[in-house]
Amino acid sequence: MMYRVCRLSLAALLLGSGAAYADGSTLTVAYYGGNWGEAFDACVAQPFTEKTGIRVVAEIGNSTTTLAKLQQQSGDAVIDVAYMDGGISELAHEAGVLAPIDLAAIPNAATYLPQAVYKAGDEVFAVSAGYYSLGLIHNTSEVTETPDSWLALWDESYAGAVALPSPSNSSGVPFVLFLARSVLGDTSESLDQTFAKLKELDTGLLFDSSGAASNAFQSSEVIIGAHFNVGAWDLTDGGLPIGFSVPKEGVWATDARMHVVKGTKNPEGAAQYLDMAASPEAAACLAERLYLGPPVTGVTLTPDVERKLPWGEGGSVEKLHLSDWTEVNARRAAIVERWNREIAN
Amino acid sequence: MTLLAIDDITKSFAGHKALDHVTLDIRQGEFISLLGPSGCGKTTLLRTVAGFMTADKGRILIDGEDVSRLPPERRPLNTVFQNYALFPHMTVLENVAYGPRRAGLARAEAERRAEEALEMVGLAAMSRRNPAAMSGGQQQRVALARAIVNRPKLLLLDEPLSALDLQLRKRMQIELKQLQVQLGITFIFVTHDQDEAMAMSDRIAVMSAGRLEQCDAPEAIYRRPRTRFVAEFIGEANFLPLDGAGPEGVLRPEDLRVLPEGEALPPGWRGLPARVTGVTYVGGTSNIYLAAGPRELLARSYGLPPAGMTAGRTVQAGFDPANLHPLGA
Amino acid sequence: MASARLTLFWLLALPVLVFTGFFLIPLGVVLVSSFTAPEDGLTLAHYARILLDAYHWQVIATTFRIAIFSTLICVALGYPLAWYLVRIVQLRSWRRACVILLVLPLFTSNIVRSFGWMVLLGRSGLVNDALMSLGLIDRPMRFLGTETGILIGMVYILLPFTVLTIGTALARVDRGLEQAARDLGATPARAFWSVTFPLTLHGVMAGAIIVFSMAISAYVTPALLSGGKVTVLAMLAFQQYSTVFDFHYGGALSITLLVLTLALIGLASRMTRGRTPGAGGH
Repeated sequence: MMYRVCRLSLAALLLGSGAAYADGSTLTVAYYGGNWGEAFDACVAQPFTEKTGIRVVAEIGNSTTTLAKLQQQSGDAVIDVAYMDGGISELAHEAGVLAPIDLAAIPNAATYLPQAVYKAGDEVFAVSAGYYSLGLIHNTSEVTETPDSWLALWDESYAGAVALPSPSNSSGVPFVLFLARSVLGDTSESLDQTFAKLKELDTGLLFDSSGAASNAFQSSEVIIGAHFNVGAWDLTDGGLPIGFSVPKEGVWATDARMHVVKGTKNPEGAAQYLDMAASPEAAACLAERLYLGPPVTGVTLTPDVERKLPWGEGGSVEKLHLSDWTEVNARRAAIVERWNREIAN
Repeated sequence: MTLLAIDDITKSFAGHKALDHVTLDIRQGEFISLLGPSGCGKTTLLRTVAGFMTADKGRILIDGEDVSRLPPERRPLNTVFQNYALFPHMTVLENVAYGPRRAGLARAEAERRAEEALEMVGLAAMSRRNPAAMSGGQQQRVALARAIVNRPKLLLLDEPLSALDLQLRKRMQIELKQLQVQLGITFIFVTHDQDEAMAMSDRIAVMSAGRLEQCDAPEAIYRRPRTRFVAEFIGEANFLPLDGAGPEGVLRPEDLRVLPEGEALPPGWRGLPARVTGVTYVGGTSNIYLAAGPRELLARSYGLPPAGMTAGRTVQAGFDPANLHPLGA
Repeated sequence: MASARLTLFWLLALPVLVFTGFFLIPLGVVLVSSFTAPEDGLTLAHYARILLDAYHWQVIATTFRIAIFSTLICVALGYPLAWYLVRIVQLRSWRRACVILLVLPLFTSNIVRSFGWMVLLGRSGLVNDALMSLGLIDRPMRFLGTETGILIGMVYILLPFTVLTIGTALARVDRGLEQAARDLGATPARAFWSVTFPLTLHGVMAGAIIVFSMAISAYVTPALLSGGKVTVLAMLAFQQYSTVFDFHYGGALSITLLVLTLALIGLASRMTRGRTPGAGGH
């Protein structure tokens, strides 16, 4: 017993110092902190350990931090499986820190939605862990009629009380492209029309974090705007007069994705972990906890959870506008700069 | 002519009477010392006169004008503080020119006055210095120059020499007295040092426990102390019954003579048998300590003690009853 | 003797190591990245991009305006507060309670605090409710997402620093000096401005420099209270690091902020030097 404790703490020490420790009995998974991390732990990591006996060591950090860690450890992998959001996922792939995922080694992969498998050429570099969207949120006591179009944001009566994500939020830049393409019909390269329209908008908050948006909706600082489906439904679940809707133009969405790290010393463990994550039970569990849209078929959910999913009541993944992240990443710096000059001023 | 009238001042702190019905008139041009042990109220009295404290009862009049309600800056007097209170962020000249500037003089004129005052205290050459870089004695002179530069009617000095060593102190006593005579300013000098008070003052006001015990010329204070406290605080005192029994009088040690047993006393003198308990010889004077029954006596004379005057010897202590001053008179 | 020298060595070596490890090396990394570009090695392009662009100067101006106003307000409010604590409060326990009340905001999380500001300054917050019910305004005034809002938040967090530095300086001023000034004919106001204030100037300056440095480099408070609608230099730099991943441009923004800050502090301390009493002057 004493020996085990020693070994464990030594392992922790070695992991902490970046040295490799792998004999197949542990799997290091990088995921987010807070309630997302708790959900991944409860829905995937714990059942995975129960089933395989492989202990999961959590490496907590947001997508950007995880990518930085992967770049630092290249050559001597400590992290085996990494969760990263859409956008960062493509950057990680470009940075060459990911291993191709062998779907054949993952029995549950057969149930993946076609959109949930990310390929570069023939190689799979990421699989979806679940979708979330930026829906149209309104305060039901101030905005009595559920808006059916994003153009409602420009309604005179909501002047000064509109919330949008700022480019400091990972959804900010792709949301601008979504507004241009799917709402404003601006197909131009310059996005002049979109920025002109955004400039007209009298906003109350350009949020950099989901928490800031929740705060503002909660205190009625803003009464209409974009917010993540999970953040919005948490407010509703908490008894606040908040409504979530998927307007006729659809919603911008992205997903958390799972990646196998190049140089992992436990590829079998990683494949088993991905298999567990793709199970209907894990997907259902994540949908219940985070209202994360399942990336696999065959998941049964209660009607209440069903309507809180990113695509809304009766929707499906088709309702989601998933970004072309290569384009977003290429245009990111320019859009941020233009936003700074014209909107955040 | 009365310059300052302290009229029945009473001041209490948390039930403790710091000043208890003090009345004192001070004449124009006088050098008066407030003398007493620490806690006797002398500093409180000075601060009340300066305006840093308000009396509970009584009035302060300067030149017949009631200044009791005036703030310090509107009273026609200045103070030399115990720790000098020189402004550390100003040069010596700026310190001294501060008063004239506040009196509304232009900078150049104020500085000319300041130079004059510094000249008077012998520090003309140091006007550009920082006070922190000066010796205690020099700082003391700066404080003095700063206080006299406006030629106040009345100068209050709060134990200004207490921080100096003995030699410097004796010299400053003389200089201070000369300056006072030269300027003709009325000085109120707070001290707990009786020698200092005796050496400099026209009159000494002895205070004890918030009360004014006696105010008189130094010689009168010494010769004719009105209370036992004054008698003991100023110099040393033998207390003897005025005639055989009854109320006691004060006899100064130099008026007590030690005579061999059986020797005839000068006519009219009184004698009493005593035993020598100790003999000391200090600085040209001899002290002979005696026990006369339950009384302890001290006799002082110039020169060496008489031969054979050793402890244990039985002698007679003699004095002229005219030198025995009755208390309370 | 030898052991004393060894102790001295460690006493010096440890701070030097910590300073190097946690401060100089990261700063060096930022500095190097600000002067390099992935394709063409050493370059001044990032600085040119910042300094030759009116937009960046506008952000710099906003940043400095907020920092300078925060500093001025913190000093202007901090001095009377320090005076109250040091000179007026007699009761030791009440003084202690006041100091705790004062530093309490430093211990609460930014998120909690920002939510507090929304409750207070929001569209339907207490301040607006009060102003509207008093009939002073008929539409809610906007505080959040404005420089005024950021300024209020900054002053709230940074005020303790000026109160503490000024209070310390004030407590060390010999009150006999004020009495001496009064005795020499100065009114209370004159005594304050000619004696007390100059003698506390080093405390004022210390507090002002702390507040200014913290305000100019502040990220969280402006980010939370700006509502994304006011941009300060730190937010711009952070954005480059966190979302755009341009460490070169981001580094150049950080170094620009650092250099301008040091220049302004240097200028300010040069201006006040000689007016404060020399070191060890008491």
